[in-house]
Amino acid sequence: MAAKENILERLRANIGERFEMPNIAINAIHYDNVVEKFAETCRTVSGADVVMGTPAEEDERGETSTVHGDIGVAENGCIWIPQREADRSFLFRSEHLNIIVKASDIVSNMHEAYARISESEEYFKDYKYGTFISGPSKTADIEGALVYGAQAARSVTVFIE
Amino acid sequence: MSTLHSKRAAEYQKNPDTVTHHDQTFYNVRAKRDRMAQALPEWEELRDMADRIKRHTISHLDTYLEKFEAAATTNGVHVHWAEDADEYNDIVYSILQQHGVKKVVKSKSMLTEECHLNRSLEEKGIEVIETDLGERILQMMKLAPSHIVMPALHVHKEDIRDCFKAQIAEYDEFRRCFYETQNKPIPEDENDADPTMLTFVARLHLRNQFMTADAGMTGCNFGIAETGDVVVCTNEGNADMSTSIPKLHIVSMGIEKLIPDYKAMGVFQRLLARCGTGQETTVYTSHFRGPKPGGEMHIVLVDNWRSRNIGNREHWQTLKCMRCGACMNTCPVYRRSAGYSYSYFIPGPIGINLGMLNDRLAHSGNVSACSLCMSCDNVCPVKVDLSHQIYLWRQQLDDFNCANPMKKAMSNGMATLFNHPQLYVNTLRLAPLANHVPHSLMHNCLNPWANGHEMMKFPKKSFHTLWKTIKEEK
Amino acid sequence: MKVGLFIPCYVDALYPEVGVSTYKLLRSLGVEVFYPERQTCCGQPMGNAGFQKKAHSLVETFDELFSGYDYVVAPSASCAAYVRFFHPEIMPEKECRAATKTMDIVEFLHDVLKVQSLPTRFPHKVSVHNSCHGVRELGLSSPSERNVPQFNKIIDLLRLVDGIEVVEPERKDECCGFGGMFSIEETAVSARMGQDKVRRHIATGAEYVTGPDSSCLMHMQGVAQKNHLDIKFIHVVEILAAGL
Repeated sequence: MAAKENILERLRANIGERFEMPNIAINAIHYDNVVEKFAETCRTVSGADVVMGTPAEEDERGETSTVHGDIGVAENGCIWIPQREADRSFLFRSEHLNIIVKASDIVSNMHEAYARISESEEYFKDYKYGTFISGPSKTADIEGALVYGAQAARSVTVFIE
Repeated sequence: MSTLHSKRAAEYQKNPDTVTHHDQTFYNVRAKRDRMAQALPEWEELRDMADRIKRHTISHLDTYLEKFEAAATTNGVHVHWAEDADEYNDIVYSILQQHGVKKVVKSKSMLTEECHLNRSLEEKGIEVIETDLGERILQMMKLAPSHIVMPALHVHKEDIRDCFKAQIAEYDEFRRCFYETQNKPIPEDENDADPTMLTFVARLHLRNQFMTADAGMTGCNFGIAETGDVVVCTNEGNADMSTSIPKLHIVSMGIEKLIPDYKAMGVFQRLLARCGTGQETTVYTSHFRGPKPGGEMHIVLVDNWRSRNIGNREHWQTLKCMRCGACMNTCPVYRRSAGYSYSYFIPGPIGINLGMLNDRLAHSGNVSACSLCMSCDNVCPVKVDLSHQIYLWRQQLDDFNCANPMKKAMSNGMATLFNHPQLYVNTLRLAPLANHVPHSLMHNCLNPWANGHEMMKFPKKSFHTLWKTIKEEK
Repeated sequence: MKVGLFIPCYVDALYPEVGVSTYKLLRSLGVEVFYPERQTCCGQPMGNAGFQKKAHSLVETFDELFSGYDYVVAPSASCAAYVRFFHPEIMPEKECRAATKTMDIVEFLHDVLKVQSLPTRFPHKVSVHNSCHGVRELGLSSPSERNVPQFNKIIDLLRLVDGIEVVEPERKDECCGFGGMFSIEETAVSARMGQDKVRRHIATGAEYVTGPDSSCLMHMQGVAQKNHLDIKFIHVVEILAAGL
């Protein structure tokens, strides 16, 4: 434990002026038709397909997996997916991912999304992991060319219920 | 009397097309960032808030670290503290050893670069596989990153193809598989280097690595003090792949990565990708709060001079940096000299400063790589005054004997000249004589200005002289 | 209104006509202009080279020479910015009285005199060089990096000139690569930046590059001549004072 004490000791000795925590109140972008904006962002920004409705049937785990998202974010197409079962690897191993999100769970921006996560007692109780996913896995590491399906899902369909 | 950066950069200029390509590639990222900034009316408000949150957190790091440790411990995470790179490397090795790990998959982490973790583990017989595509390419090619976010963007696809062909045994099979999935005929030319195909080959190659690794390692973009979350942002999903299959997850985290809570996280999540790559978000923003069922999660908190640097009154604000890379993309010098022209592993404006903070004797050769254009200050999401920091380092070079003697002599000469108005005026009168120096003599190798410029011509009369006439006319 | 005219050292030696135009323009606008003859340099070259401390006595002299005027005006954004922002840092023990009232000529015409018309004609197409310290220190135009209302004081003034066509290059406020000592220490990158910048100015189809900093213009002119790139350079004040 010497390292911890030494680090904290040095920090206490070296920190100069201590600054106050600001009150975080951002006048953030807000969309009147949040569902429409979310659908548009999912298509154009995330690179996902968007379907209004519910998938016909839940596919077998394998090529395609289907998962429920709890919050959709209109500004960036992020969907909050908390871990709900012991193995979460299907989220990333599947070639194709269907994500279902309720229209009533769509918010304008990340501030609203994080506020919802903070308020919910459910998250992180059973499984200590959650992720925002915005579309298929991407890379532009080879000469800047955008390629879908770098490592995880190669395509994503967002179902808005 | 050239600096290390200027010599390497001059070498880099020998291929102007490479410079053009590098410059345009990264300027495009900057342009995408600009579009993101323009699209959000609250953009400057977000930057202002990010700056203030970081100032607060960094100046209360002692209390936030203890808070974070307590929260993480409650979540069932093992928290370790490392004072320096060696201690960090030892801690990671001992965790791996306890679990009998032979192979590690890891997602991108600048901290592991800083501490040379891969080399340290490999020397002890552990196989380390980078899983970020860019990092994996560099690892296979035995190259260092040239940029902190897009580390391999300077490598040509043909070289990547050659590397994959030589090192991925199943290359032909994976390539065939790609064209079959695409329902496309397999090109007759075996030397195709389509980035989509190469990415697919890497995907299958890395799948095998994920399935056979004994441990996953990640870095950390943000540590949330209140809840103990480690937040990792990627586009590829490789951090999630690395941690959802192997049982053991080790996080490497610089102590400056902390932010207070989820409310703050909202601010930083919105800025990071917009600034870094010009995207509204990274594809994955993953919160790791504890081990998987039946697994283990460890966080190693690494100091490595940060607690000392926080005491540097002029430069402590560099600790606010969240490694988005925006300052590199906008830096006209970085874009035209590329990562390997800098001696520190982080290039560009933030790298010049961090290198100096960590080892000023080793990295003073980067301080020249700035025209003081201040563009970096204006893109930085946490408002580090990068250009002024570089200006301040220049003021200190002489104190530790790293100043350029030519610049020192010139500064002394100028001080004498400008402090003696009569001498100055007399010199002005003589200046036009320089016009008569033969071109060949003026354009010799001792005159660095003449390397890139035609010499200027002095007018017959200076303003000082002209003023005498103006005064009389008045 | 008494204005102290600050003609920076390199303008004095190399571009005296820029100083003369500044003087004539200010006089034509009814300003009383004074030129303290013991002035030399603001100290930026030393600070830029890492020897700011050697500029201390220059800062002191500058303040003595100029503190008595209502404004100090210089036809050089970079030097004006150095006086305003760095002099107080170099001489913290004393109040820099001149620093706060030192302005670039563009700022002075635009913000103080609020010039609305000029009796000037310049029937040419000009490409505006938004120099770094003008943009990011003095705020002569909105920086392209920021999400702020768009403005450009240089263009506002040039639009008062009859017959002129004003354009901006692609990457409108990217550095030209001068950077003072930078151009001597990092010659290769500096020259490359200069070539890129000059080519972007030429691509606009302009006859002239104009800006508030003769230093950037000097650098680009040297690069253009060396590389046989054909475009002319003129300080913005020479256009505004054309025909006076």
